Amino acid sequence: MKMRGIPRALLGTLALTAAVSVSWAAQPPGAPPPPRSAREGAQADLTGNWVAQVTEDWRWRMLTAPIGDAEGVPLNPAGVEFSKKWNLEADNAGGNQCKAFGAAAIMRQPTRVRVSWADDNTLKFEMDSGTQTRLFNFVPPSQASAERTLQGTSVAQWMRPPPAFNGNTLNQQVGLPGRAPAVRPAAPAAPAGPPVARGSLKVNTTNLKAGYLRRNGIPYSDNAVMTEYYDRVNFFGIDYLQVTTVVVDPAYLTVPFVVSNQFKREPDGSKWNATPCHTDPPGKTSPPVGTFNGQDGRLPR
Amino acid sequence: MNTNWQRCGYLLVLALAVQSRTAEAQGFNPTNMGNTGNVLDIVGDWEQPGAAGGFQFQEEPTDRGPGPDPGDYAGLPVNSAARYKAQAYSPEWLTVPEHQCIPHPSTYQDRSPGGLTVVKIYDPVTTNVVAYQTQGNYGLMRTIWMDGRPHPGPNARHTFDGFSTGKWVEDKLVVETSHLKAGWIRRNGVPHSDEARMVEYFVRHDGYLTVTTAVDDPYYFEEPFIRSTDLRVNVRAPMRMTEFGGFVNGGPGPTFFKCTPIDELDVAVGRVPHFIPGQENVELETFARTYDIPLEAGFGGSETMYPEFMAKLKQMGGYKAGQASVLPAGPPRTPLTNRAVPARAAAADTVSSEHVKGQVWMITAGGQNVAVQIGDEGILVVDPGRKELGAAVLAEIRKLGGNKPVRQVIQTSSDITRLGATDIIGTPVVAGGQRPNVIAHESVGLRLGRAKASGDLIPNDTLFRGKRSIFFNGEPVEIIYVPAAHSDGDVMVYFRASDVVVTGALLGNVAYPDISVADGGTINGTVDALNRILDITVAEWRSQGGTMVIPSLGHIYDEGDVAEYRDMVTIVRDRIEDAIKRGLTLEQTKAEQLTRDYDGRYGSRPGAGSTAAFVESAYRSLKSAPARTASAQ
Repeated sequence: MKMRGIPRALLGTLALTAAVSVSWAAQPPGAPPPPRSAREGAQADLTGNWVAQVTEDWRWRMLTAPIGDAEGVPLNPAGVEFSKKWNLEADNAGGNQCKAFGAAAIMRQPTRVRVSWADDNTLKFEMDSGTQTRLFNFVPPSQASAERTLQGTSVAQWMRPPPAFNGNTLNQQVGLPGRAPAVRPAAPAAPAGPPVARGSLKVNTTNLKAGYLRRNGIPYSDNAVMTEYYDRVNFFGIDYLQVTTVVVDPAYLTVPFVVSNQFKREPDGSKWNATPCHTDPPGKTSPPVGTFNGQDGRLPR
Repeated sequence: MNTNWQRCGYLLVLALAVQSRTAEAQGFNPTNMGNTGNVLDIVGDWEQPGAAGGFQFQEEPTDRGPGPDPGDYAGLPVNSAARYKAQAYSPEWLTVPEHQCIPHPSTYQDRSPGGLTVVKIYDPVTTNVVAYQTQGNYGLMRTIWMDGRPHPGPNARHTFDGFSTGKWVEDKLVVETSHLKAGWIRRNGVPHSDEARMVEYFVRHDGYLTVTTAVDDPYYFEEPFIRSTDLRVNVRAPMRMTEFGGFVNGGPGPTFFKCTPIDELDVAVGRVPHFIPGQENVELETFARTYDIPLEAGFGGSETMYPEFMAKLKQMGGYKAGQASVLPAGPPRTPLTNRAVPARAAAADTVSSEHVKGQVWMITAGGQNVAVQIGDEGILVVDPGRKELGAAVLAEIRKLGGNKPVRQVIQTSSDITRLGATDIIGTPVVAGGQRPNVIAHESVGLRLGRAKASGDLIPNDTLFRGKRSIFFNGEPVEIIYVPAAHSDGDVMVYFRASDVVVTGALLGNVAYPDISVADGGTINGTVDALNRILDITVAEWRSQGGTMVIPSLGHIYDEGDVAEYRDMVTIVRDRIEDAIKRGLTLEQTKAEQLTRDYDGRYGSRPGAGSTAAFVESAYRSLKSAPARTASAQ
């Protein structure tokens, strides 16, 4: 509401400057001008076709875990209570089939992801599991939407290391007193063309509709907010997209829920298989419910 | 110097801890710290993201806490060899003295409870960063070299932490690790070999550290295995292991965790607990039974990592009891992306050397290892190697020892490939000088005589049994007879002050044991000989270091490596023994592929030491051997 009356174009320019100029503010004289769009200022090329590799939490991601199996999720008593009462039939009857496909869980699903630029300041993430789309806005919407949605409102910014940052000569940060500073090599010339991976993408998502962190009804509320970090990495010559997700929800979580997982690059979209939201019935048996806390005498090895 | 460097690191840790506590008091928010300046760096204490840190894992809490279920390899890109090895795994393996103190390898260390401490090591003169050091509980203090040094050569020793070098690529620390010991990626026996390599990305986002780890292993994985671990800036005193293996919260930094193996049970020396394929192992069905999935689904493979597998799971149906005993060979399906195991290339006829320890060096010539002790009295050579490489080996000896004379040569067996260069090595430095004393078991002399070998190859000093001890170059050198192993005339050599064992033909890192049944070799004798080596070796720290071991082929070993090799030979021996009890012929035994979990790693060389030769020699020697008593099993 406070934004009312400010010209939208000016607002957009100001917001874009804030969003993509994290480190340009400190540019020395003569440095290139700030980029005109998020696309031009991209610190990593995230576009393309990616497929999730489910190498962790397999039984919660590939199967529907038993009701109440929330191991690892820092639920508070209200969250535990909610998860025990989860009812798949009721969800399906009530048109809530997609609650496990919301922003706070969709990147954890076994899914393919297609990333493209919707426009110069909006990065589009499409997921074939549940046929969901997320928009990462580098220019924050001028007005908050009144309606909460499954994918919420995501505001993105590129995180770029400051020009002076060179981890290979980090000695200057804690240089020993009385020592002459080490000679630092000249900063490397900026690479031509869009960078493959110079920095990270940080995405803050709000305005979420309540959903499930896992298919078996482990809840997050409509008060939840989420921060994600996206990175391009390369292992043994293969490209991967890495995402770290932090969900904060005072209604159901005691502390932020932090997970990360990777997507492997695919050469094209030929394996894309858009499917509607669907959750299989929960498993019937389960180990003791609760988060292992190391206090029951079973020391890990 | 190390102490000074570490002091600097600890001061830094302390400073960060104070800073973090202040931040907490001001309403610490790990997602809003701002990626500016030194906040990008990864030094400091990091903890699990759960409320109390410690054991509160938010990813894979079961696996990382009490432990994974037997038979749960789901989501891992394991091939049939890895699956077979994992199915043989028994948790009792950790009771074996050589394994009791084994640390988490660096391929697993980040998954430990507690957290991770990262410090920087500075060169005190230039103030340049030389390395990062990281430590997680149950792991080792691990060094990531940042000074541009290359990775060691192929014959350098391997460790559980491996050899790591790092480089900042923009905002990410990229770390490459080689020279790992055989280890695991899940604590229910899912293996990686000592030829696995690892690449990691350490990326700090605000107050979180994400460590993404990729392990690739040509012998056990269908594709690289990748997982990530999330940690949060620690705003409390770090949780540490105590010297007795418990945990404490607090203290200024890493505590001392020495760990000493003890006898936990009165069991036979050399016992290696494992399951024999085909024998019922109901525990293997635990994961599938608990979550009502088919056994094959829980047995993993690349395809279980991808979205399509959800549909396949539905087609496969649920759990069916009693399948573990009918799946001795692993899942009866062809992995979608199984990679061909690389054939081991024939060793080039090159010569190189590595310092091993004390006065002992290892020269590698054409893939074979020659041990050389150099001291004031002269030079002692164990197994001079092939004749055609003798001149090159002698040149390398001269490079290491100058013009000191070779006074002693020890032949560990009658293999002409190992002693053929004896006469060349023994060439006096000056014309007319004294030739070396050549020591071997009596059988070596007899066999060489029967083969009408050159007189300069034949030992002039032989032993019959027990051991011969000589004092040379200021240290006792024990020449120990190992009966009925490779042959009936083998010895191994122990340099007591240098603390180095030379195994001779008993152990070749890149091949199965070469057992010459016709010359009196047996697999039981080989197992006994390997256990004899382990009687001598003493690990310095957490099942590695201490006594060094020079095998006949491949990189330098220590106790941990010998134990892995001993385990392999013992396990295969037990499987073949079981096949004989079941009445299988040699051909039927070969057809069962009882060595499939090790064939890629050890069996790809042709001839002696190949899979076929090893299985045949093991079978034949067991067939004619008296049954072992129960106490020896």
